[in-house]
Amino acid sequence: MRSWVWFAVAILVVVAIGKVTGGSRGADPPGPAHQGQLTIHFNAITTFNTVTISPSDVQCGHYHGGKYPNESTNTLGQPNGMCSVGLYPVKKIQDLPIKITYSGLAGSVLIKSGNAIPANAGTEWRLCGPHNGEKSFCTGPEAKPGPYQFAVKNFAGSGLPPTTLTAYPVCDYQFDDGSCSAVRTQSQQEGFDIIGPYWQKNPSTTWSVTVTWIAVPAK
Amino acid sequence: MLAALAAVWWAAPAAQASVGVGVQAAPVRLSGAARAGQSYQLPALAVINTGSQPEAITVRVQRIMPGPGRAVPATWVHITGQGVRVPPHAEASIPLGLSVPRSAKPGDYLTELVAYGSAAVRAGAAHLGAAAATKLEFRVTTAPAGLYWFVPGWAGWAALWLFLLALLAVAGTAAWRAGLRLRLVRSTAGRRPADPPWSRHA
Repeated sequence: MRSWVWFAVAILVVVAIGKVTGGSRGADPPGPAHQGQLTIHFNAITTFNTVTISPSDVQCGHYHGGKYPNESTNTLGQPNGMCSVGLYPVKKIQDLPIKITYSGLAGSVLIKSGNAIPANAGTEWRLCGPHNGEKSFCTGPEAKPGPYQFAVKNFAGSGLPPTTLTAYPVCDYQFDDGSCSAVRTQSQQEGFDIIGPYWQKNPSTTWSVTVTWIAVPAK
Repeated sequence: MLAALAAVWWAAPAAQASVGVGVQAAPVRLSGAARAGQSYQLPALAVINTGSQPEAITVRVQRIMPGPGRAVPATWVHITGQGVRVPPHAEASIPLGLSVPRSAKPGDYLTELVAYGSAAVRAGAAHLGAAAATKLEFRVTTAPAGLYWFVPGWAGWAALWLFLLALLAVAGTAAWRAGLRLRLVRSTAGRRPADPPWSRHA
């Protein structure tokens, strides 16, 4: 009988040792501070990766292009009329009205564009780009936008030719003069061109497009 | 005087509106491995509005950067704080959950959580938007769900000690049966043991 008592005591001791050895892992919540311990609270700098764009709203200007009788200097003409936010080739900083500021730990800045949305909720113009194997390539003559297509190209003052945007986020090569790497509080001035469709029959005269810059962490 | 004030007013730039969004740089990680068929609460996602106007921030699950790991279907991630209104230069926390379906394949999973500002489309203008992304990482294992969820962590150590104790008992019993004995000899108190033969006394 005594041997069973000793066996039970041994089991309890082993369980206690296991609990101590296992530490605070598992389901047990940490207990209150023990006597002699000191808890120090302090604040650390928050680390966010951010991108800030100013101004937030811009108008497209410098209209040109199209062919008689559909050319225009105040709207997008047909075929493939153009307008610009800013001015390319860049001659002065005022030609780049959009300021993109990255902040945070080292990362990258990506860019993408949406479709052109008409005010009358009719047929959109689909964003298109170079014929690089993707479905959304431009189908017009000289690889320009085809019917109900349009293209957006961004530029900066680095000397790089304008870069065609895609619907999918890609590296903004204009941000860091050939790369999209970004470090704390790096900024860049940019502008962009919009090239309209080869032809389209939506009666809306008011269109809008959203261009989005995205801050992403380093790989 | 009035002319000077007018000149200053004309030259002063208008307060420039801006849009800006940020997200925590640290990736969102699940503590421990996920198991197929289970749901988990992920750490909340911290976002910030760095623009000059209030934003409604929404979070999307998008794989936008290359990297190892399987893609995460958007339906696995539950975002309960969509469209949270964030004042300028203020932060917000967006709760996240993860539901791993039973059909999930084991391995490492990777995607981005992209926080978008409320870039409302305005007719007649090119609208500029801001967004920020951070990684979501977790691992799915094939280990059965079993009873682990209510077994405390220290139980494993207790089981290990029990096993070692049982092993010691079995080894002792086997040694006893094999005839091995440990003989303990106790010397009588006050009696000096015999001097070794090489010792000399004067």
